[in-house]
Amino acid sequence: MATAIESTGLTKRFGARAAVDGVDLAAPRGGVYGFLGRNGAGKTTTIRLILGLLRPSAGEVRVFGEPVGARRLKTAAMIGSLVETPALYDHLTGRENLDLTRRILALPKTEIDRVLEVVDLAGAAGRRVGGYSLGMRQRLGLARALLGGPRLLVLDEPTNGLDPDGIRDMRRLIRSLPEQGGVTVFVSSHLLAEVEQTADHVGLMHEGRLLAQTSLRELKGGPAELEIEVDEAERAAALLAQAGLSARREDAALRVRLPAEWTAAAVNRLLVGADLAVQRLAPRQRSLEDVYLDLTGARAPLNA
Amino acid sequence: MLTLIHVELAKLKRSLALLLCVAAPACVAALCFMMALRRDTPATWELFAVNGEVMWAYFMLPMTVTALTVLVAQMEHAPKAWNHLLALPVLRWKVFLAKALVVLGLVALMSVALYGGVFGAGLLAERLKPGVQLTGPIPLAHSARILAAMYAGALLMVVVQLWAALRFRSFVVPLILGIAGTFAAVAATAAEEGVFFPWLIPVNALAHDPERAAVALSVGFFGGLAALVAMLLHLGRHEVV
Repeated sequence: MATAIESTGLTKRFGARAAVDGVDLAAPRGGVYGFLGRNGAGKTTTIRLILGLLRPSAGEVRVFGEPVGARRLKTAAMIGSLVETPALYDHLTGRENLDLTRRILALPKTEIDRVLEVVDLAGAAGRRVGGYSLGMRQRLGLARALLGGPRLLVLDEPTNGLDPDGIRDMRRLIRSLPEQGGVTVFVSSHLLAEVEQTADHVGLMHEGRLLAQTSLRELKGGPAELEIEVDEAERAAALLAQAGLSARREDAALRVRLPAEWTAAAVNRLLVGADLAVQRLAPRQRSLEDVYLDLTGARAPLNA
Repeated sequence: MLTLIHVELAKLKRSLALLLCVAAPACVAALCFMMALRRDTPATWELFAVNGEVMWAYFMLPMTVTALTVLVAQMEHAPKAWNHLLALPVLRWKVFLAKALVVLGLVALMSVALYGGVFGAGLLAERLKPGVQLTGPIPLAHSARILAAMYAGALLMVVVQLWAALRFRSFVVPLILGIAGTFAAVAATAAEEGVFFPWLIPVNALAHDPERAAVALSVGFFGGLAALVAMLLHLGRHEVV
């Protein structure tokens, strides 16, 4: 698999604390790579290492095969980025903000109009950024990241602080970028639903470590789950545990991960045979949230 | 490099930093003007010019440099613009050198504005109040030499202040440094060691002892160049956390 970003044993320590710990990233070229993790999981630090803003304590990161540490200028020329909040100069207009980066990248002036069209901000480009809404600032930050048509777009929490309309627009924009220009988008988020709706590949970060990394489809596959509504949920969970099935409570229902040798009918038989009244029993597709919570151990089973 | 300087200049548009560069020499000129209006006895042009130079060197220059470097650095710190700027395909030390050159350029412009402003204030005072009389030749060349020596000697102070302002995200550190340096300079004006104290070096351009003035100028200028190299090496390798 050709990768846009590849890291081996990537580690960054601040004092004794490892913010990023032995991360082996492999973000494939093209498509959207969702970099998922809660706040403080090490996502932004990893992004800073990719951009060469930080030096790794150990390991290395490559962008399109080029080592970031040794060839930073070359890798930086291939990347457009938006890290944390858009770093904009409030006293300048949107167009003037873009023009600063355009000059440094030695691009023609027409490039500003192009990226403003992409983010639908041409009408407000003459206004000072200090008067922009957060959504407009995010779009301008994205426009700046798109200047020069980078091969890789690194976006750190691009939907932070946006209203629902803004989130939907940003999501649509991110999804469209690989289709339009073959750009690889590496987007970090702590919002599971966000990543689920935009990404093809997913990496799950937790406490500085990369817990899983694969295609979204593969990640959400795996053993099927059953959602069971039953009276005496505690007794049912204990019974399932005796049978070797892990159950957890979710609202009024129990969720049971079903190994290959088990069927829904067999579970039903087990519960009914123990005089439990099964009101509903339905197979359920695993969501990214399920995967994340299972991998991070944030959701302990009732019968653990 | 020219592109980066151009970019830094473009950032100054509508900025407080630019306003400060106009206001600081204008304040000194205004004070000179009011002092001239209040005089009942004739004074020489030389004394009038020295008054402006003293105000500039002792107080206005170090405080303005402190404020200017803080404002220039905060333009990047406040919106966390380093995240973007230092991720671009450009050598980092060049980014910081461009900032230093622009700040030094602004200080040079302020010195020129002060030069014109002080003499303009004297001429205006003479015209507005017939009683005001400034005698003797107008010391244009002498004053230009003094202000040029102050500027060159101030290089070390400018670089030290800029270094602190760029290094620390909080503006408090460079502000305290500037205030403390200015206060110490005023309190220890006559100290022999003053020729080595960055905030006092510009004042030494006015010293009657030419040797002392020359030593101060050398320390300020060559020390400033050395500090500039050290700053570029340090900030060029500094991580953006």
